Amino acid sequence: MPTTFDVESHAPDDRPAALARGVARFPVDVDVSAVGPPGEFAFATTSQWFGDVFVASCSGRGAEVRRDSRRAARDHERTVLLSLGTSGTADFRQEGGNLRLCAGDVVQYCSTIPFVATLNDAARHTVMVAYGALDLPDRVIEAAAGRRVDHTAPLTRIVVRYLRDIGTHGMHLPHEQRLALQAPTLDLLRALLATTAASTACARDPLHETLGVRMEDFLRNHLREPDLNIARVAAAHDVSERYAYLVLAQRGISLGDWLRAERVRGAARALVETPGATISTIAATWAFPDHANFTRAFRRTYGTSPREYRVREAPPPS
Amino acid sequence: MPLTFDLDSIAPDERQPALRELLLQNPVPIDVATGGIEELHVATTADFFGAMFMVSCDGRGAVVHRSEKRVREDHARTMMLSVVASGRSVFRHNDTMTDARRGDVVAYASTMPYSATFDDVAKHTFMIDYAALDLPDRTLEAQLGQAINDGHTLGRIVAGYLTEIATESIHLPDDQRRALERPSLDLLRALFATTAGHDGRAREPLHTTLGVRMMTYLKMHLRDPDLTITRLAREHGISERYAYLILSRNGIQLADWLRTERLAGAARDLRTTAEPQQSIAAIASSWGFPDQATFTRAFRRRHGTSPREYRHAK
Repeated sequence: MPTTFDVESHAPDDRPAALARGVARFPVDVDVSAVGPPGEFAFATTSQWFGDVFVASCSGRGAEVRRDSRRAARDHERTVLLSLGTSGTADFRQEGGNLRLCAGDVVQYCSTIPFVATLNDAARHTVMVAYGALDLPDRVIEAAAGRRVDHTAPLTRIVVRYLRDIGTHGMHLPHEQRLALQAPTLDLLRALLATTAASTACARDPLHETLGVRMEDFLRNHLREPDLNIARVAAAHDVSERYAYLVLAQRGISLGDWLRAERVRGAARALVETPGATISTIAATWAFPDHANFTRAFRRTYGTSPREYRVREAPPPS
Repeated sequence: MPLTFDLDSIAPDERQPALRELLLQNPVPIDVATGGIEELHVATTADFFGAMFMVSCDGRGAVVHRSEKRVREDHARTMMLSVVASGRSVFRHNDTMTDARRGDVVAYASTMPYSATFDDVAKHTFMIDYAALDLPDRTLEAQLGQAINDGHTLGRIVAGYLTEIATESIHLPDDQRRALERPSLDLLRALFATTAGHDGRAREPLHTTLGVRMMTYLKMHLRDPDLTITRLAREHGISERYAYLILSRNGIQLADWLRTERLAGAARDLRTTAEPQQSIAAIASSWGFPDQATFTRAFRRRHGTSPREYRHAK
């Protein structure tokens, strides 16, 4: 069940303390307070985790959600936030920029920069993800911070519709389904952030189109080499590591995750297709440092050990 | 670049052989039965999303089918998902029959015989090699022939995503199209892996949470003018009658509830703002009233005074 909080279900005296407890569950510390008469204050949230992704649906009236400079400067897990307006208007301020979030609008912002959002009978879904889970360079994540996301771009429309559905319908899904949505949700957020960053920060590079294809080919050709990393990809294509990350992100590839997934997949095929090979050999062939490491990664993807998988998927004796 | 094909651009007596030829070149070869030639219209557009192939087609006057014989031929085993964009199409897949309508997404596979009617329908079909989905066969094949969005929340989320991709497809630049390959495959994998093997429909606590989900939805969309029972029912994949029933169990009569909440909100705005920054017409429309006259009537019934008098009396 998702976590719910409604200030109206608390006695007026207890409201400030209840509010503080209510938002303490958020991965980004904020303060919520009334900005109008106390009788016209309302604030309610429903929130849930999808693996590393946190989603909060929040409606409020006469309410201010603030992250002040003291909180933003404090040591914390840096997090990117995306708010999708569903009803009413919220006024949003980050770093001197003011914007009004209406139903259908999307704004991207960061935990490292103070912000204030005022909810006037407004409702929105907010998605929060740690930089670390996104595995993109800071510059890409922060390129469009504090700005409205252009939701007329086709890719943005697709991702926003998906995030809205997650906020609306995903909250009550059983745990294993929410966990299974983590990978596609992170992929879609990466694609969204990379697309937004590319349209704001990076000049068009004529090689750009072919660069992505060439990098992916390179990765596939060197997939089984244990020392394949971003430094090698960047050096082989004569670009900076940052730029290599960005180009891969635009293809929906986050290098660490991608390598792990492709290697586990290759090893899974090998388990079935080469029944004579030992599991340690297959692990080594697919660039896993050791058997234990391989088994862990394998179990995370397939929910079973390599040994069990091999028995289960073995072709029936003919 | 997408590949396009329109049967109407071909001489009438060559249409049937041309269509047959086209369908055999499909990643999953299929056969077609047609009626009268003047009733036969087919237009298709096809393109790749990395490992996914998507064909959009619309038309009438045909039934496509994949026979037992074709299924037994050596072929790349392929998962197919058809998104019905308009009209309806009846799918028969093994023993399962599904009457798919707008918004439905039917999953089926090249490894089992199937047929689908093609009469005044537009649909988008995604084709994905089993190898790209990379799940055990029995997981992939557990729920074939059914609409993935039927009574099943995760399925509806995935179906909504596929519909959006299919609709936006022609506008997507190549790099963005490729960036969608991985999340799309991941989403399908999430759907098949977590709902196969056991009856996902029975396991989902759908009906226990429906009331709370619908109440949250109403709160989140209170000010949308098109918030109606039709939309509420469609969003939650239930009939309007059932939506009414659930709401009444929560003590809510939708029209009354919306009017009360919206009039209360508008009254607050009238008290806390002033002309000309916030006109009465603007307040009315921001609270989902179709026009100022409707708002004024409803307001007077509730408060016994007009919005203008109420504002000045505050």
